[in-house]
Amino acid sequence: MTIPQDVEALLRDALAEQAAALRPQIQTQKQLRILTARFPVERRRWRLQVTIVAVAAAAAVAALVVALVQLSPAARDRSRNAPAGQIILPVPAPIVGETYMPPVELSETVDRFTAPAPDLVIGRTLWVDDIHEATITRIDLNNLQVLSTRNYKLPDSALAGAMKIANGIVLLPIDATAAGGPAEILRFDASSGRQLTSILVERAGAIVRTPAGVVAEVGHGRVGILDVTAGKVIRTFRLPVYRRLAYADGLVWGWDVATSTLVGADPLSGDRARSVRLVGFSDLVMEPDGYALVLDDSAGLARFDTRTGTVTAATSLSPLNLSRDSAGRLWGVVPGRALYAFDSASLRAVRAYRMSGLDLVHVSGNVLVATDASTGQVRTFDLDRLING
Amino acid sequence: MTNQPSYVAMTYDAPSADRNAAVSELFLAQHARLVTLAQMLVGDLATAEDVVQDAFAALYRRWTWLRDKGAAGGYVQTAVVNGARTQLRRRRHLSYVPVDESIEIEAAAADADLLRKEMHQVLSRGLAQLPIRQREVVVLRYYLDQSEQEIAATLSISRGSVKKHASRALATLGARLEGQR
Repeated sequence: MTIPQDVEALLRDALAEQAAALRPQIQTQKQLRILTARFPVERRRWRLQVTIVAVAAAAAVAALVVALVQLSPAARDRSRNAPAGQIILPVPAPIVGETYMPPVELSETVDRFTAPAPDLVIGRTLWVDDIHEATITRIDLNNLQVLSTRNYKLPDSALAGAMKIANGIVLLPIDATAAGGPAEILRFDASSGRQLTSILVERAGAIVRTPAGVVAEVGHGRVGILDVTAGKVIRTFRLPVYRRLAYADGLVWGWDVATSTLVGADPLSGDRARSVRLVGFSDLVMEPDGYALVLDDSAGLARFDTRTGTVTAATSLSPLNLSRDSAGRLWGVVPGRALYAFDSASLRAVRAYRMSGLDLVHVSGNVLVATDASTGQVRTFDLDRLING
Repeated sequence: MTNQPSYVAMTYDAPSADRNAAVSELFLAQHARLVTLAQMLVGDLATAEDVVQDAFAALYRRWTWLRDKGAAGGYVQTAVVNGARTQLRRRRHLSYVPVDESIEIEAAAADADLLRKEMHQVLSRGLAQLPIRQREVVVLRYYLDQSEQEIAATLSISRGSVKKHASRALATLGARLEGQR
């Protein structure tokens, strides 16, 4: 393929011009003040990491070390929260040693994507959203044959949420409001993949299923109960939302990123029932687990008990996403490190497989689906053989 | 007894003060360049600033473990590239390059400067639509002027992969330019 000779020179010019245009908007002094304000919290996180190394080095006596340290007064220092008495982080779970991935990859691979996300499995059909190509692809998990590919309309600067299924309808939130574009919840027929009319909203991103119905972000600081079959919002109530919603202990949980507050609301009445400040957490993702939420910010996972308001387990590992297997283990890829399986109660990494080129995962039955945005591949692994050696 | 607390405080605070000063100094020197790098990768300034903040916070946490403090710049740059990729995958964000609506194709054809601007815009939009890895290679090569070997080290991929991603990216961008001509 012949490349126009001036492309490289034009590219250098274009990037230099882009950098020069951006420069006046960059406020280094202001950003430095933000960073230095984080230093005390980061020092506490550093102590957490020191503890992890110490615990890993003494793996043979890890349980004893953990018990002793938990009893010591110094354990109080391990909180990464500024105000004392709010959330005390427990000693982080020890990290299992990484091993190379055994040869359990199923032979078939699909490599037609650019940025695949393996959100959903319906029956034995994997639904893959590729926001880069604006496509929804349905794949037969038995043989990885592509069943259908649908293009959807995608405005510039779109931010996609994860696909969810309810009442035979697959929902995909798309939000381009940051660039002055629309926000909508796309709908697809779960059996045929056919696109249905969208639900137009003011903001879109997070969706969660609850006994009271499907709750979705529909506006700034506002969620709505959806009639997914009719494709409309039935009623709305206020709840801060940042990237994800979760349902646990009878409440819908949202995250107020501005005040680092976890807020739980009754989906039936819309009333706020709980509000817990989690100072030190920032970019939060929530994975419900019974009465608990597994919280994930960029510094690691923490298990938050919604009934007691305490963090009962923590780890410094921060996977890109989490998917649960039938035994309750949480699977996720930590970029640059490994594919991990976590015990959901202790957040102890019970398995760690070094494997380059994986990012998002989804577990369905005995198959672990993993994607790789670098190569655009969807790969599958035999979970039974992976677990049982 | 009265001296003991201050001695304890000094032994505790002195390393922190060194770390604060060293990381702050590096931040002042590198911030604008790294935010620009991150913005080229993720497409918006707010996310880019978050990525750079997190990279420096991680550097701060690991400062005492960093044997070669002179390598801190490289460490934080790699952290920014990795952080940008993580943000793109987590947020599933399609990068955005604002279009300067004041530029009209007809006018551009008549004016060399406007033509150049329009070509830059085509390239910027094309860059934003490249797959993540290709975008990383292009930005490291043509914004940071890194060699193939340096890019391979930053991205933890082989030099062959760097060549492959660069070649594909340039072909795509070249085709977009040709389409405008």
